[in-house]
Amino acid sequence: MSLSLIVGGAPVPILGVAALGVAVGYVAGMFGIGGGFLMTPLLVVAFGVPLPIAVGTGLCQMIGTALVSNLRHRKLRQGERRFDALLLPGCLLGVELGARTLSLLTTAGSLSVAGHSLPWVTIIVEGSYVLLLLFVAWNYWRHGQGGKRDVLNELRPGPLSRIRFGPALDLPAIGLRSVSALVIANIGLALGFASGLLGIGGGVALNPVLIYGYGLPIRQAVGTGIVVLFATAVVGTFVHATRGHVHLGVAAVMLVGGAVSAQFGALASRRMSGSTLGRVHALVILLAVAAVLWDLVSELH
Amino acid sequence: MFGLWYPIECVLAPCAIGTVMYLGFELWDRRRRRTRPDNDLPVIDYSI
Repeated sequence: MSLSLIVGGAPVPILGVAALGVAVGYVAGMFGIGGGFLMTPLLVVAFGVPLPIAVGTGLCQMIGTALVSNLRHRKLRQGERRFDALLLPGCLLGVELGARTLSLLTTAGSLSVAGHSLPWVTIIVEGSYVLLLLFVAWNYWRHGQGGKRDVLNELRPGPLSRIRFGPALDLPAIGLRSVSALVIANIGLALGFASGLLGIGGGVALNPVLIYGYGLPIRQAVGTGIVVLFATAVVGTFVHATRGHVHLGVAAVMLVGGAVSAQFGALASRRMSGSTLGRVHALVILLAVAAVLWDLVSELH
Repeated sequence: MFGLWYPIECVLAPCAIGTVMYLGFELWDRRRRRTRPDNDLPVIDYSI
């Protein structure tokens, strides 16, 4: 009996998917994140899963992890619900636009590079992953330099909170006043688009915006937007599933394996200092970048 | 093209799995706290 799942017409080993889920989950748990932005490109690189299916399946898996996150963070009462409410409409619209863009890109043909043809969808999506992962790695390397973690535990109103454009409102739960509602709504649109196109939870993009753009302390940043991320994953999954871009079996295997191993990773992280964690995190992400670049180069040959 | 039932299933299934996992983690967390009351399980932001 073959222990494989048929994904996009090709067999993908169940044990391999489970191992990927466990490995990424362990690493992600060690750094206090969900790892969705690692799983999606690694599904493509490690198992040759077609990009649109990797994106949709990654979002499906993210529903489970975002739900657990919501339930666990709910008790902590962190974050600002008004921020969530402003992000949500743009996010939902952005997800649909991102999913449509991905579908269009799969029919956009190829670019000829050095005598070989490379599909546009691969160039744009994997190229976006490389840029995004490099940005995340750079941020974690900076955190690993030490001394910055204490600053990130305080509110330091950032540049985005000082933009005066359109209607403004106060965000009392996070201590910000007269924040532009239109700017937040547009951030939601961009976030949703990234989710629909790349299959990421948006947290990897949202948290730097909240921490560096609005100056929120880390704990408030993590608590803000969690509901939106769950909603984005739900809508993104639904939209991608209507196009046949979600493999429920792969998502379920990754979800179970990843969520369990994340707890052990989180416990293991207690033995490491903050600066070491930051640097190890950056190195792990750079390995993922190398894997994606390797895949891009392999497609050329 | 794929009807509505499959997309609904793709949303409900991970919600169900996530809920079961959350309840499992809470049980494990409470048992841990009985033996190590000062050593809380770290909260992970799974949504990233």
